[in-house]
Amino acid sequence: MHGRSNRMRIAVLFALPVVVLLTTYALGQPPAEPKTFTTASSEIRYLGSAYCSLCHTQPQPQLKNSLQHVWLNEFTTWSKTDKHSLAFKNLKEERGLAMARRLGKDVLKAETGCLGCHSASVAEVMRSSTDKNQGDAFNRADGVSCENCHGPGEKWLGEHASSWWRTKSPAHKAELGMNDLRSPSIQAEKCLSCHIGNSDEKKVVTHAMYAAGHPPLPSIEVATYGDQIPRHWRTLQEKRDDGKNNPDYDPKAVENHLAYEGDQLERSKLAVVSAAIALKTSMALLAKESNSSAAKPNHEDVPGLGWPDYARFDCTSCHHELERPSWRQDRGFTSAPGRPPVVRWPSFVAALGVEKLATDDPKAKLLLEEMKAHEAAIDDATRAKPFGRSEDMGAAAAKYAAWADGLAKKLETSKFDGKLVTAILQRLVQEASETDLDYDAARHVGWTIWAFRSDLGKNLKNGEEVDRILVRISSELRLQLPTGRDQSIEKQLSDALRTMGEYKPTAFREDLKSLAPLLAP
Amino acid sequence: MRPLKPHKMRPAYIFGTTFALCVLAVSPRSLPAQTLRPTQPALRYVGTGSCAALACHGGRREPLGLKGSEYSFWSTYDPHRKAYGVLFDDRSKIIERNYRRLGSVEKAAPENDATCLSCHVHPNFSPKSVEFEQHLVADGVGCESCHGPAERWLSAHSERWWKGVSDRDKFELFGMTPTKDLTYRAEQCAVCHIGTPEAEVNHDLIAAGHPRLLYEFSNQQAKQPRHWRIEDDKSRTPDYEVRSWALGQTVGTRTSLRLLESRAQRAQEIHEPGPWPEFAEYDCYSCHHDLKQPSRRQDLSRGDVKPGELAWGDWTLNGTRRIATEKSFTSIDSADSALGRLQRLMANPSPNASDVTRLSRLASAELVPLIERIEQERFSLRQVDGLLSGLLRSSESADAAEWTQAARGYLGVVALARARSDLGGPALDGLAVDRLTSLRSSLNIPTIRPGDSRLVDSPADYDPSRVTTELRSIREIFPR
Repeated sequence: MHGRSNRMRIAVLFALPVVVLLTTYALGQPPAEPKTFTTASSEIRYLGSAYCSLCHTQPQPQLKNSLQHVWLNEFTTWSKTDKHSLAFKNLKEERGLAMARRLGKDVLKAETGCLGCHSASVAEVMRSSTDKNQGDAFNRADGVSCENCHGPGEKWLGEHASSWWRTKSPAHKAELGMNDLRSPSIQAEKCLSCHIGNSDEKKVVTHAMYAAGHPPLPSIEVATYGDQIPRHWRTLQEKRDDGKNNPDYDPKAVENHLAYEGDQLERSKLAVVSAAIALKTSMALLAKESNSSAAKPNHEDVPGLGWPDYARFDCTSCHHELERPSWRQDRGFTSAPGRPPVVRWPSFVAALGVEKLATDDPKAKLLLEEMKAHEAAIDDATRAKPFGRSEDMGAAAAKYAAWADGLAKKLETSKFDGKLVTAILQRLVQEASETDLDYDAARHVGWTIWAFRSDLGKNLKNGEEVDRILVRISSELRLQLPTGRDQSIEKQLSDALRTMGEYKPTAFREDLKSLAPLLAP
Repeated sequence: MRPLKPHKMRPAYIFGTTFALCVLAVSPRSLPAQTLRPTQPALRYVGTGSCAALACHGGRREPLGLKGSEYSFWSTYDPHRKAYGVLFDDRSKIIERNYRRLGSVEKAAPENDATCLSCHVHPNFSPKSVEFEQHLVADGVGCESCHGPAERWLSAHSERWWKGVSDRDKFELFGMTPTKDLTYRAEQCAVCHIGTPEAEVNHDLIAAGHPRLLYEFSNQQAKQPRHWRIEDDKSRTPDYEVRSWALGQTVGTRTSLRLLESRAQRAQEIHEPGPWPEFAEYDCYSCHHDLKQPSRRQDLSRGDVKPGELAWGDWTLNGTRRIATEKSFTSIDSADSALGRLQRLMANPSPNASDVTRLSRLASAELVPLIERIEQERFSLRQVDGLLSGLLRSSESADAAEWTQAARGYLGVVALARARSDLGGPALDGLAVDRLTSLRSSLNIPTIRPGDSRLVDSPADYDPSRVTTELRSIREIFPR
């Protein structure tokens, strides 16, 4: 309550100059675009969601030219129904307080490392290092708010309310600090910077945090997760149709939308591109931590940040009851017994992306060899000693991350139509049915199958039978996500952890084996 | 090492020694007597066949402890007999496949793997001599695996003068292990049941499928089908039960520290460094448990151990510390001792191996005077009671009572309860037996969880508050 009234006060305080600023843009002429662009600088200020709420909750009369692009409920949808707006508040709930007690740290202080994901520590860091943010409307109590995903608003806030904004190229917007979330790879980068982690942005969950009570970060398939967020945006398909059907649309704006090829199966594309980005993100995190270890064996502030940080490894490799007989021991080990594998659940679906490229261009088959070599290098570093030899791991992971970034870029410019998605769905099910996947990888595969399947809709043959099996898989792997603010993790965690502990790869393989013949061409 | 007892010079002994020295003089492998250790692989093993004659140790096997029945008894009842045979089991093949990264079970031949044979036959077993010793391999852990290679003592030990030879000379001149001496006996068992630099079960091997090692000298002896008479043990040392428990704890800790030292040392080698961190050093259940919510572990406060760090020494240290306190070596129990500093260091995700080498060497040296004191000083009933109460109090100390500590505490209480009655204390009454039985069942693993078909080999349903209450009720049985 306090947070909200505070926000409103600040909003009112700043409303006038902002409105003046916006009006200037609304009445003015589009400025010429600069010839060259650089990526958004971290120097750009965060303004705070109070600014956004001005237009995204109610129409501003002087901006009526832009109204065709605004739903007016974006802010309310986020603030009332989207869990991301609770991110900061949760730190002060029971679990956050218990974690603080166990760690002996103040979870609300930027240096403890929680705010990176639960608010916006980049802004926090800037705030403490310079005075230029003083007096703005940024409020860390907003949790994960507008600018965490869309980018810091200092330079684009005014211009994006103008009538010409839609005609501007994504490169121009990026220059001003706005993230082009229509791009699958950029969207995935933003989501995964918290949902996997990013050291540069100080978004890292350490093993000490987990041990103190942070729920395990599950694997994530961006398209399926995105479908569960109370939506305050339009799909690419919808945007494209808007542009086509609305005579008021500026042709240049339509062109910008068409650049995203709304006639593609966008969920499927997002699923595959985001797998490559997930691979890149997890490898980049691994590279950063294993390389920094020698210099900083024990990090002063963030609890537990030294190499090896067990959080970079597959949880259930260690965290399982000892059983007789042991399916792990009977199965054998791809790496080596007693040498837990690193978090690498994205690689199975990412490999599917390579196969997709190879269907477009036979030369892309080389990519598969490259990927195998990267996997082998990670395996070698993992095998060398328990929790890996950090020097080798750092080098191998950095190279693999760069490679996965390249893969994502290639995938982003390739086409995902119904024929292709039918083919890769069949391939995915076939290959996964022949592999023992760990729990996280199995769920990632499960969600990816869902994304493909829902994109194909009625065009998938044997649809009903396929769905019956998918429903079974969904319940076995708990693929249904706890959607909405009333579905707190606190209600789910106990069952979720039990499912994780009881998972056996053979059951999932059997399900997929019964699915494969239904998808056969 | 402890000072050995002075011996009386008997004529037969003088003859025997002279005979032995003659043998040494003509032997092509002769070595100066003082450097001859039974661990020298130079000594030949002759095989259990040489012990098995009906007139020697292969007589009728009942009743237990009958002199002359040792071989028969061992070969019928003692699981050590099966140590080699077990290597042909499917499980052993799976372990070998996983450990050696072979890819398929068909390629796995644990029966030829030197690492396996070093404990499943004997520590000096050389696979190069497999053909030569083929008939010995099949014995498993046979007579000489514990009693020492018999090349020099086989004929001598049946001579009349043999009884006059001192333990030290039997050991150093003839290669026979003085198993009657509890320190040597405890060390002898620990060679395989804890491990040595030459023969160890590390986490790689456990992860491959080998059972973990839990050394508990006193109770494992009590359970082992014995081919010797416990009355003889007790006649040598009336405080046998407490002594063997105390030596089991301290010698066990020392052996563990030596093993840790060698592991840390090998981790620093440039070529083919050994695995590090070595997770066999830690309590298995620190990591190996399903993730649960609510989690009792998250609210454990364990001294210096921070969230996500590992508990080291849960199985090994508590008993040793109680003995140190009772024997007035309080420094060993302090946080500044080498042991205390080592414990703190080992909680790190990847402890500095050279610091571990140094501290574990210091810590095992710290134990030498304590072990000597145990050897020299007879335990009194009062000391046993002191140990009991210290052990119970430390095992029940609120939320520190993880399964491993509580189980080790229980085993100590059982051993010390045996010791009390030997030293003139009253026998346990029905109530006491009931309480100990109840605690035992509370600690029991494996457990099958309700509604679940998994056979769990870890204390999944362990309830520390219940165990703490039971430990407290057991404390009431014994005098304070």
